[in-house]
Amino acid sequence: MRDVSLEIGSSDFTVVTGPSGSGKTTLLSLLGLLARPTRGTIFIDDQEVSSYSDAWQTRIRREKMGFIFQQHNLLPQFLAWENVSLPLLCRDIRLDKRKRAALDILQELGLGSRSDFKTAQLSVGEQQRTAIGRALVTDPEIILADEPTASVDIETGVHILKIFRSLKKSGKTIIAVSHDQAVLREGDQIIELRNGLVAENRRM
Amino acid sequence: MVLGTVAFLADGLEQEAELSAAFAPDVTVQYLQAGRQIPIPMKYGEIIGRMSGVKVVPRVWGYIYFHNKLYTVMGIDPAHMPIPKEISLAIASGRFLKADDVGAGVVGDFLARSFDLRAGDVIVLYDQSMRPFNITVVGIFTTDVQLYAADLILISISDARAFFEMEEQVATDLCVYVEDGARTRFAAEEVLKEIPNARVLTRGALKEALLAAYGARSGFVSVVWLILLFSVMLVAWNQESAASSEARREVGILKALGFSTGDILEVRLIEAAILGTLSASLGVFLAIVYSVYLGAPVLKEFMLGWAAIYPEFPLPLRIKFSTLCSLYAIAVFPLLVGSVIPAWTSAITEPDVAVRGT
Repeated sequence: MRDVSLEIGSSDFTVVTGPSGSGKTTLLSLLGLLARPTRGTIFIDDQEVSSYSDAWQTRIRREKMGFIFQQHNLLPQFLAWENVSLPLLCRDIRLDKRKRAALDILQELGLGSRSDFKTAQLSVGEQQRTAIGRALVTDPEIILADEPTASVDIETGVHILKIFRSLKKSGKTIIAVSHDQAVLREGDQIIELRNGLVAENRRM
Repeated sequence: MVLGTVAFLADGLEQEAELSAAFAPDVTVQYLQAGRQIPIPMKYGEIIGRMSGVKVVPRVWGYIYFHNKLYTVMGIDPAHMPIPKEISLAIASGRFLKADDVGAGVVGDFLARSFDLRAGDVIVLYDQSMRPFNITVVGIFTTDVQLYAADLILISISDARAFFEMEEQVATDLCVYVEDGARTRFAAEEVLKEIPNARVLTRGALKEALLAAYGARSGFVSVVWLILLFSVMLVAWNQESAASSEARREVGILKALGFSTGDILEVRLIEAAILGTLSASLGVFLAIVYSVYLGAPVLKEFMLGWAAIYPEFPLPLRIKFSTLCSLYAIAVFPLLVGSVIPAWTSAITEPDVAVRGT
């Protein structure tokens, strides 16, 4: 990525789009502090976080962010509720409270009856909703999503958009990479990338 | 399992060697001619006896074939030899020889089991001239001293002289007991000066010889330990290499979810410790079943040796706490190394692999 200068508003739903190889996922990784920029800086809440140590960046991820991956990235050896409760494990929260929180989220996402299933026993849509549950279980301020509707059917896509709408209403900042027109229509800010450059940055 | 069985057998043999050595005199003196042992003239006993702080007791012993097995018939002088305090541990039933016993013997466990002998029973052996020689069994050795007593028929020295037709002027060897244990080595050197043709064995040397002969099997034990340690490390490394891309992805996901490098290493460490402990427990359990209940087929022959003419050794087994600790360490440690190092290398790389799904 080169010469990228962006500001993303708090509580906004920002959609990053662009052709394959344009740098969408790289931008998401940088914003999520999963990769470090070779040049330039990233600010979150007016703090220059890109130069923070790994430990501090981990702390920011843990306290402020939730990730939804394109390929859900659930851990197959765990049950659905165990996957959802994983981000709480590193916060030293007791097992019963972790389980309660995970079951509540899964219930909200319509997966209450599937909480004790291994991820391989869930449909693709259910897997993606479980991954969304995992991103939301810590009640993060910022949600980063990479193609959240790309691998699911239309019905599940609609369901996921409903969840995003509800999150937006509750004041969450959402940054999603997507080609899906339905997702683009929901965006407050659309950033289009081409060859690592910002081709267009428009507020809706 | 193999390692556990080998270790239990090696520990059992070591324990037996220690107990068996306790019955040996401080110094054993044998006489050599042309490099071969021959009866030692009793005059040498008198020479050694003149040394201060030592006591000399002659011993007469030899071998006999009895029902196609080779046994050791040993004649001792219970009136003059010090009886070791461990003797109560060595006698399973009956008693030890007394000074005035005539035609009495204490026999090894194998002989007693083979002929269903009990204290008071009489066995008929055949002496040097193949005449019947009656021995009344007064005691039976326990299985804890098999190295010493499995093939042993212990009788008085006068009976042994009659049995082997050996004259009063000679003995098979001389047992030297040293009052001050710290002077044993010095006494042995003195004996060698007085009798240059003697073979002089201290109790320590005898114990070392027993351990070398059976644990030599102790070389075999070391080889098994090394091979298995290498195998476990190889398996751990191979497993981690094969799963490295999956492991990196998993670490990336965990880091994206807020896990720190320390959290990930802790999780991996716990995983490896649980896996290693379970594997070691399973191995120890199987080793106990294999050795205690099945009698360690195949491995027993490696460890105890094989012979058609010697009495069969029951399996000596000993489960030591330190050996168990070693077995657990060898199962857990390579897994810890094999798990934690790749986890650490994955954890310190940037975790965007999870986002990219590669």
